[in-house]
Amino acid sequence: MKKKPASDALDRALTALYQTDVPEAYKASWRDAVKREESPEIGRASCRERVYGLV
Amino acid sequence: MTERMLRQAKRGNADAFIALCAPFEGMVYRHCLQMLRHQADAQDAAQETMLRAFRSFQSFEQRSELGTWLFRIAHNICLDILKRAHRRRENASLDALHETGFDPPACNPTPEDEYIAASERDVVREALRTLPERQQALLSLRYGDHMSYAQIARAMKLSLGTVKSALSRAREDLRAAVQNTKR
Repeated sequence: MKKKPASDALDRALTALYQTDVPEAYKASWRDAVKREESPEIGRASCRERVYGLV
Repeated sequence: MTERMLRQAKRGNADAFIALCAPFEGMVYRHCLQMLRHQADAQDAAQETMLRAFRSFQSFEQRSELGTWLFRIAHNICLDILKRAHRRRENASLDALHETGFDPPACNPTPEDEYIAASERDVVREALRTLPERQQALLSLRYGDHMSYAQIARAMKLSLGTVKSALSRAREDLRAAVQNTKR
């Protein structure tokens, strides 16, 4: 039987090791936390920028 | 990563920060999970990483890579959590634990852990810890997020050639580290 190259085994091990579903709740919660942390002035400026292309 | 977005994020613009850091959210979570081995704790630590990064984004130097910078923050937050947990365990006397009926988290591996321990995966996990943060970040993006070389290059603000050679080097170093771990 032909022996597979070591890199294949390493690839498989890495893929298995990193095979983790990233929770949707975390994806949403860190975005919400960052948005809450944003100062109101920055938020308003950001909104103006989106609407009028200012700042 | 555009210069304009970087400037906006440094001024505290949440949308710009989110756009810059979103490609690394999986990498951050996976690293926290690998260190803490607990989903809810990993989720909290990963969120704290992003929040801390946002608060200190002004100190982010463009010379360093954003992915590596986030990885380092996540690593330090997890280390703090592990140290606190260790201190709590040391401070709590066994008698007090019995009196309160508190059942400390079992260190015994779960059946799944036992299975993993018997596999190559555990060896690779140990070996990974010995690699520099940048290499761990790159491997996580490649194998965890399945990013192409071009996507990694964009996210990390590196050239395509640098990403290819850095990943190749990371794999070589990992292979050597695996060999050392097995010895």
